[in-house]
Amino acid sequence: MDLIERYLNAVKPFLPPDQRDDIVKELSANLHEEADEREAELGRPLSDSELESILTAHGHPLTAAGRYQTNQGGLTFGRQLISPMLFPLYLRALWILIAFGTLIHIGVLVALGVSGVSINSGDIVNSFFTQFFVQFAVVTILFCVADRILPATPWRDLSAGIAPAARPPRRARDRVSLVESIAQIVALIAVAIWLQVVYTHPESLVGSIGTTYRLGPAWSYVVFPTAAIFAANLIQSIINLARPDWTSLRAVTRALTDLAGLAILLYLIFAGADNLVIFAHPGAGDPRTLQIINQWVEYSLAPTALAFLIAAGIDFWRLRASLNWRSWLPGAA
Amino acid sequence: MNPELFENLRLELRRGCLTVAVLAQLKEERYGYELRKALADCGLDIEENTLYPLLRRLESQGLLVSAWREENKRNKRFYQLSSEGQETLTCLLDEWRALNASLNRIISSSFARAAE
Repeated sequence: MDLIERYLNAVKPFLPPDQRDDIVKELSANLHEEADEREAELGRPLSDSELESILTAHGHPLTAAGRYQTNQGGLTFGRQLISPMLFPLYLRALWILIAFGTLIHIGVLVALGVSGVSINSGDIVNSFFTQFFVQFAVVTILFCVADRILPATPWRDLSAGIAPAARPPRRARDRVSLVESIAQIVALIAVAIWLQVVYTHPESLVGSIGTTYRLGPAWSYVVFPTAAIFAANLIQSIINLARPDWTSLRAVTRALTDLAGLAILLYLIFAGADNLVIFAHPGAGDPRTLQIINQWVEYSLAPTALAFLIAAGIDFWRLRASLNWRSWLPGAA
Repeated sequence: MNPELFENLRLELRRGCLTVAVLAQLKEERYGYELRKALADCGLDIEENTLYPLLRRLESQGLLVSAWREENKRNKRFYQLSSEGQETLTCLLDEWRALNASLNRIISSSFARAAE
């Protein structure tokens, strides 16, 4: 019967949150009933393959969960690009990223305004639309790909990947949920593409001001380390898709990448001081305005560094708990 | 014949009928798996991942009521027609009979014309 629990574990993350427990309880009752009846017919316990054929008849966990979505909408362009199973998750991811991007955008525009830079309304509208289009396109493409790949993934891989008899059932908090891994992959790719667009085409964020000012040389030294942080987190999420029980990998990756992020921010604050933003060409603007812009950038980097320091502290604390070093002591087993 | 097109048309044809069949079967109280077997016994096979969400949808529309109860040492969710469901079913069955009669007339007259 452990297979039934694993099937339900694979279905659960994709169910509507407000009905999740109730649906799982009902599905569990129906599946156990069906298995019991089959056992009674055969006069013996079901083999794993017989039980699996019952579960397969219920459909892939993603398809099964998708049918329970109250929002049966999808994204269709000629043919269905995002099915109802991922559509609610897609909408949530889209809104979070657009809200995140818009907040940064507003922050930058306010800082520029306060610095005395005149910004025309056309620039503001253009840059907002460009940002929105980039985020929409990236998230939509990622979800279209996920919609093709996930239903083709064997459901056993989605649920655990551990033979039932090999280990005792793990508690939910001892596992990295499928939704978390997918959300992290989508967010990392979307944010990485967004950063790349903003770095190479600053005018997409600040309009025509991007032709007057550009990022200072210090930023070019942090491009590779930043890409490495994104890559490390991406690899961790992909591994956790297949091995959700490897929570220590998540803890180690987060703690180390938070420290690396903190180091990058400290480098920018100290090495790039007063030089984080420079003129795109000599004499392009007012030096006093440039000084104020640099102060603003520094002011925004300092609390970000503090946030990374706190996050690293929390992650190391969790890592300590996750690794449970006492279990390594002789005789602790 | 295009099999994909036929499958789409078949599913479309079945969709509305399934709702009527489920409502008709739930004049008496049943739980999900039991209902699926009862429908299959009448020759109407329905996939689990279609039936169970359909039951919830009909309940949220007020056509069914449900209650958890223990039977054979297992907790099960039993569904039954609500009074609104009963009225809706009566209207749907009238509609079904009228539709069926019209369709039969259309089919028999077209076959008769084809035979001439």
